[in-house]
Amino acid sequence: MAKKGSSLDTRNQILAYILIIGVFIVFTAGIGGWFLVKQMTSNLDKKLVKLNENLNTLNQQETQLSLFRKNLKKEKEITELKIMIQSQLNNTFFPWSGVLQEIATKIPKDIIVLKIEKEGNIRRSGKTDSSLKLKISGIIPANKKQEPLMAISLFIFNLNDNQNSLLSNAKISKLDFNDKTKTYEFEIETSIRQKS
Amino acid sequence: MKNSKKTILITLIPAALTLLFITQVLFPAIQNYNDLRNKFIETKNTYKETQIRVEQLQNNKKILTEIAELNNQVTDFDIQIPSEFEDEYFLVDLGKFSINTATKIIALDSKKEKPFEITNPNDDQNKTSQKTKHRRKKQEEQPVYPLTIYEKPFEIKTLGHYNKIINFVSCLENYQRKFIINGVSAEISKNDEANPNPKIELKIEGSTFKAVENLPEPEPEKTE
Repeated sequence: MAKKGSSLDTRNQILAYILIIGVFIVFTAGIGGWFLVKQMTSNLDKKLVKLNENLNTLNQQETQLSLFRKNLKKEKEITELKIMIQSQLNNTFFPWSGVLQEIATKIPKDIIVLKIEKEGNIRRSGKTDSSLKLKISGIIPANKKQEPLMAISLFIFNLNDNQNSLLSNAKISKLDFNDKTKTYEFEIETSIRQKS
Repeated sequence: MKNSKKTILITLIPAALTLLFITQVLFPAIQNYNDLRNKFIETKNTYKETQIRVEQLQNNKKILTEIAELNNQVTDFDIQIPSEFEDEYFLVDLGKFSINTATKIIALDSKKEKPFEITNPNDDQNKTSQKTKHRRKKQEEQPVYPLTIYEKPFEIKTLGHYNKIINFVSCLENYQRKFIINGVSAEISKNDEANPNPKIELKIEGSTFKAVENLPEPEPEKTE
């Protein structure tokens, strides 16, 4: 039942309309989708720009904090080293005034100390060297009332007497009688007690 | 049949245009969005990771407390071991000790400064006593510390009565600067031998120290 002047019959006309409307719907949906995607892209782009700005700020902060942490670690390392050095030096400390005082208090009356010499070195590794010794040289007049050998012996005895004293293991290493001066010349060797 | 062809022809043009729009505009836009989304997610993850790292770095409380505790142990380190030997001050202080203890400094000999070997007291030193070779090797392998300690040996000769000399030695032992006495030797002053209470000449061998901070080596410039 085609109308006069129409090139399509009704059936095909309806089909054509349906197809065109279908294409139009798809096209419109496509346009709508495109707008939507474009809008979402624009929004996401703005968010990304903002996020990148924040990330840059955070990166700068991280760099600064890393440097700060590095400095802190270096400071800690230096401080630990200072403690180690201090401890090492404190371990080499030896109370020389105490040693000299001890000799002064333990020496019998007539003995004259001429020389006090140390032999060996204090190790820098932290402990006192066991080979560190003191050599005490002196004289005692032979014409005194007190027996000179007894006085020297008493001196050695005094040095060895106290277990807590700094000097220990004292022994006579040399004893000579000088006929000209009428004196006994002696040398006493004593060890310096190790620090516990 | 002819009518069907016409129908197809009529709808083909808008369909083709729609298809063109979808393939050339819509799909690339979706692809672009997806790429951007992936990039956004990636950046967001990086941001989160960085944020965690920053938070960890901001948490310096523990290390600061540790440093404070350590610093308490070395409060007087810079006084004991300054960055320079400052011999002029040392000499002034020796003069003061001499006056305070009624002794007289008769000679002072300073020797050339030398690096002080830093060893950890906690290390078992007995093991090193095995062979010199081993020790030498160990010296070569010594770590580079951020501080170098130099020692300057001194030989001080003082003259005074025995008890005064002891006081002088005591002053050196309790000196605010670190002065390690390596040894002493005493003898009766030759000019005073006849005196029943003679003066003593005491030779004190000791060292003062200085701590020099080792600056980090500059990084080599990159050459293209």
